[in-house]
Order: sequence, then C-alpha cells, then structure tokens
Amino acid sequence: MYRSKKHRLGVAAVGLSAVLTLAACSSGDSEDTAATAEATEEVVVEESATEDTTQEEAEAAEETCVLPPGDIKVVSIDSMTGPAAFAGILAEKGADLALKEINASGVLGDGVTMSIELLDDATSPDEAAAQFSKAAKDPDVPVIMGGVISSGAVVTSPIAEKEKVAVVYTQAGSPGVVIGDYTFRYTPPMDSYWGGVGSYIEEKGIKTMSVLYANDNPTLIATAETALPALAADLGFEILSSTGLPNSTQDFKAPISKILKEDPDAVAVLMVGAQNATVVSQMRESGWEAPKELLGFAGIENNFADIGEAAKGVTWASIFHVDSPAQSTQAFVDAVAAEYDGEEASNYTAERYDATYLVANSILAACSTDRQAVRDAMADLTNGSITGALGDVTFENQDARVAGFVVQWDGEKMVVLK
Amino acid sequence: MVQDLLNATTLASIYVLFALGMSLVWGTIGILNFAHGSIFMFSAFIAYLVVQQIPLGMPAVIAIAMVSGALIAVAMQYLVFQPIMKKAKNPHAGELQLVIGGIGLSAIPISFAQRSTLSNPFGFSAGTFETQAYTIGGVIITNVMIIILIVGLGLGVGTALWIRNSKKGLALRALGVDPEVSAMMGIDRPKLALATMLYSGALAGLAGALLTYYFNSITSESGDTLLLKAFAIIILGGVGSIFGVILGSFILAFAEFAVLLYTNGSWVTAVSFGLLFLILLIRPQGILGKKEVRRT
Repeated sequence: MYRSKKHRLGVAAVGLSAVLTLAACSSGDSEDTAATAEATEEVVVEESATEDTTQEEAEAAEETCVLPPGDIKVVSIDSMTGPAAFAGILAEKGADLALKEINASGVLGDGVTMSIELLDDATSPDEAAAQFSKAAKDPDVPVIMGGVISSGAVVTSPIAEKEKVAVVYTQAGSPGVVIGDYTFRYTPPMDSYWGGVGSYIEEKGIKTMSVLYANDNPTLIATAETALPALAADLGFEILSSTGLPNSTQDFKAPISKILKEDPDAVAVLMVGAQNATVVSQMRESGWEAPKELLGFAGIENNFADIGEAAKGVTWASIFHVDSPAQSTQAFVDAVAAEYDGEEASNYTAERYDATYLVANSILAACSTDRQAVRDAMADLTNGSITGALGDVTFENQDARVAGFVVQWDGEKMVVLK
Repeated sequence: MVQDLLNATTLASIYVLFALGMSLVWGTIGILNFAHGSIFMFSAFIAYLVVQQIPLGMPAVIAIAMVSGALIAVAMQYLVFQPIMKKAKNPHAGELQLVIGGIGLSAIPISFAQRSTLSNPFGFSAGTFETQAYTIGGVIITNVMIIILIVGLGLGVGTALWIRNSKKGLALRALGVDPEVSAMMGIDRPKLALATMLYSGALAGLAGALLTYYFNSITSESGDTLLLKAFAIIILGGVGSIFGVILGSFILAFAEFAVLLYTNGSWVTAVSFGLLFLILLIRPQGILGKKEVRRT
C-alpha cells in the first residue's frame, strides 16, 4: 500500500457547474489543480462533511495529495449473466462512464489511473461469495464495488467486515446488507422511499390492498412484510392478503382469482422480471381496470415494454427519472446518451456511476489506497450530502437516502407524477 | 368456481405442451434431455427476433418457433447425443453422460438470450396478434387460452393414441423396452431417434410460442423453471406413458392452483413436490408406469 507524504483531507464543494469536485490531488504543488478538472458530471460533497474538521486536519488539508504513479485497481463484482444481468450490465455502464471521466480528467494525478476489474457472480450468491473472498484477499484492492443481488450481498458483507475492506453496493436492497463499518450502499432500500406513494394512496382514497410478492427475493420480502404493513398502519388502509410466490411461478391466475374475490381497492405487485408483466396483463385480462389501482416498485418499468398498454396506470416509487429537474441528473443523462449511442439512462447506471465517483473521491480524500484510510474517508464523505446522477443523496449509517419520485406507466414509458 | 377450474385446466394444458416432448424422448429413445427447456426458450426467442423485424401473426410465429425448435433438437441429437451414446462404455454410463451433456448444452442458448435481452423479458408484442378476452356466463376466457386448451389436450391425447396404436409407435415403444433386441428386429434406432428429437423439438417450439403469448412475455430462464416441473410430471405419471404426462400435468396444476387459492402461497412448492415424493413412495414407477417395463 502506498500513502502520500502530503495529503489533503478537505473535499471541496463546488456549485452546479459541471465540474468534477474530486478532492484536490495532483503531482504539483498547486492546491486546486485537480479540483477544477473538467468533467461532464459533478459530485458534490457539502462542507458539512468536514465541518468537524480539527485544526490539525485543516492544516493538513492545505497540503496537496500526491498519489504515486500507477494504476489503482478496484474490483467490481456484478451479475453480468443470470436473471439479474439486466441490472448488472447497466450498472457496469455507469461504472465505465464514471471511470472514463475520472481518468480523462487526470484528477488522480500525473500517471495515476483507476481501473475496474470486473468479476461476474452469474446472479449466484455462492459465486458472489467466492469472487468476493478472492478480491478481499488481494492486498492491492483498496475497495470493492457491486453485487446487485441481495442474496449475494448478505453473504459478502460479513466477508467485507472480517477482511476490513470497504464495499459499496448498488441495488441489493434487503436488510442485512449494510451491517457495519465497511459496508456502504448507494441505492436506498426500497422501504425507505416506497412511502413516497403514500400521498398517492391517500389521494386515490385507497382503503384496502392485496399484495403479491416474490417470497424468494429479500428486498421484495422486506417491502411486502415490513414496509407495506408500516405504511398501511400509518395511512390507515387495510392489507387484505399478502401472497408470497416462488420465482418458479409463471401463471398467476390462482392468486389473481383469490384477489378478485377479496375485491381490494389496489393490488401491490412485487414480483421479479417477467413475472411482473404476466401478473399485470393477467390482471387486466381478468377485468382489473381503473379506478382499481395497480402499484409496483422501482425497476418494474423494464418489464413493461412487451405489454405496453396493459400496464398503463401502474404506479410506483422510483429513485431516478430521466426528467428529474436536478441539473446533475440532466448532465448525467446527457453523458449517458453521448457515450452509449443515445441510450436512455437507467437507475442502475446512475447508482453505479455515483458509487464509482464515491470510490474515487474516497481514495483522493484518503490520499492513499490503504484499505482502512479509504474506508474512513468514505465514511466521512457519506456523513454529508452528495449530489450526483441521483440528485441529492444523503446517508443514514452508510446507507443512501433519496426523496424519490412517484411515477406511472403511461402505456409506453414511465412518467413522473410527483 | 368454474373460472378456477378453467384456469387450472389451462395451466395443466401448458404443462402437457411442455412435458410431452420431453417425456416422449426419455421414454422411447432413453434421452433425459435437460436442454428441452432451452429449446423451448430459444425457439420463442428466434421467433421474437423475427417479429421485431417483421410484424407477423400467430400462425407464422408458431411456425417459426416450431421449425427452430425442430432444427435445434435435431442438431443436438446429431452433434451431441448420438456421438455420446456411440462412445459410451455401456448404456447406463451413456445415459448419465447425456444428462450432463444436456445441462451443458442448455447453458449456451440461455447465455446468448440473456446477453441479447439483458435478461429482460421478451414477447411478441411487435406482431399483429392481439389477445381477446370473452365473458361467457360470467367466466372469462381468452383466445390464447382456447388455443392452448385445444392444442395441449389434443396433442397430448393424439400422441398417446399414436404411440399406442401405430406401427411407428410400436417401434418406439420397443426401443424403450430394449434397444438391442429392437435393433435385431429391424428397427432403425438412429433414424427413429432423429425423428423423435425432431418431433420433440417442434413441440418445444410450439410450447415456447404459445406460452409466450399466454404469459405475454418470458425470460431466458423460463424454460429451466418449467423443466423441473416437467420432470416431476413425468415421474408422477410414469416414465414412458404419454397418458401419464397428461395425468401428471393435471395433478400438479390442480395441486398448485388449490394451494395458491387457499393459502398465502408459501406452500406451493412444498405441496406440489410433496405429492411427487408421496407417489414415489407408494408407486415408484409412477401412476401409469409399468413396473416390469423399464421404458415404454
């Protein structure tokens, strides 16, 4: 591990000027050389992150970080194949874009680059654990990113804590993922923002609800069994039934028949992949139409392209939307379109893009690739608010929080309601 | 109640469509084809790719899927299964190698489709067919359900009768009982095996297309999900018995339907496969399987 003789702990806050605000770090003596490196995206850490900076730290902050020339290897473990590949592949696009910007800016210093070694967990918790253990044993790896599947993350988090290496997850939204000093998550857990649909539920006068959820997905289990009952207690609606189905279920006529007999005002559909499209279309075929409501969850829009009009009116809470008014989000959306032939940015890409900047910022703030120093810097950075592709993000115990949007499928795409 | 019975019967017909080809191949030419699920998926995937370019109606989509499935299955037989059987030291070792070969083969089309679709669902929405729902006496039925019921049950019963009553069916049954003796009696095993794989592949393609219409979309892994259920259905009904496949499909579908209808869903897998264990304990050869015959 290398560590600079001179380092700067202060992380500059800049305005929404599309300027990379990585911690100043250069091979020269100038304090602000790299802090103004131009990039298409800004990641802002507010001054509050360093408001408790001691006098010694403030003095140290005047020094300039110099990282020795070379490549800083970060390992990313992602689901590039298997059922969760839709999230993993899009996440890696965000990491690649951020990495390209960071290295192009030269902000890491002369001759210093960052690279990502990508390992595929094949959407398998066992494979994720094996890949993570391998990466954690490599002393040249200062920090690990990824693992979009909760079932994998709950296995890899204890390894991170044991090996004392920081890991930044995106997705992996279940309980048991952020468990200690070394685990961070850049995707807010669904139950922290699903409440955003609360006002929609009140507006529509929903008094009764039935729930269909995947009983082998930790994130959706937590939403169905914890977040929704809490919301129901808070808003005063009744959950008539909560039906957990395994991922092998392909025909939903039986649970739909049960729900139709219950005659709720709304149905929450918390299934995985194509199951969502099948449930929604079979609900419609069974006569489920407005004013009866269908509620979904973030990412469900990926399943609706093939059923189009049948999904019209499905409403859910999302942490990201391409029409967000946040300038930082719009800069990111433009950057994704420019990099990937006009592709529309997704929440998976946005989260990992921001997470990659957090990793780079942490290395710069630590001015070191020492694992503990990087972890400590990351903890400092996540004490404040960070502005990036997701807009303004705060953290609770190293776990991201965003306000989110209430969105609805209009038959062709998702649109923002609130 | 009538609606629930109709829905459960449709689910049973879906299982028949999927399991029929797999059962036929296993019960006659002795290949437990674990790639059957990927043939099912990939046939639908090829049809999906075509429909993305040319808006087609249901008959054309089904034809593309069936031809694709038949060609893939024949290629598998010719390039993989047949050479494995030829090189196997004995039939038992060969059967094990076929299972492993099938599992390995299935990963290729699944990976290709996953990569191509980013593991997102795919369907035939770009085509010209539209699902219509009809209400008859308070019971809702769609045009896709009607087609699945007719095709699934028709093909199931038709195939069972053909196997039982035709000369070729007799030859296939003979192959299932004793390949060596049937070869001595003049049955051309390689040719019949190829024809059986062709029929099985076409059935997988048909099932792939119809189920994609029924579910509106499937994923790269949908075939594997059905594979385990088909395996249970075949064991339940009795290996080698086509009527057993129909019976097994109905038992599994109605059991699943009842569990989902009257519980919170958590027990669906346990109850469904608990039935399988029960049958294996009481009647190891399956409900319609014959004890004295290895495969018929």
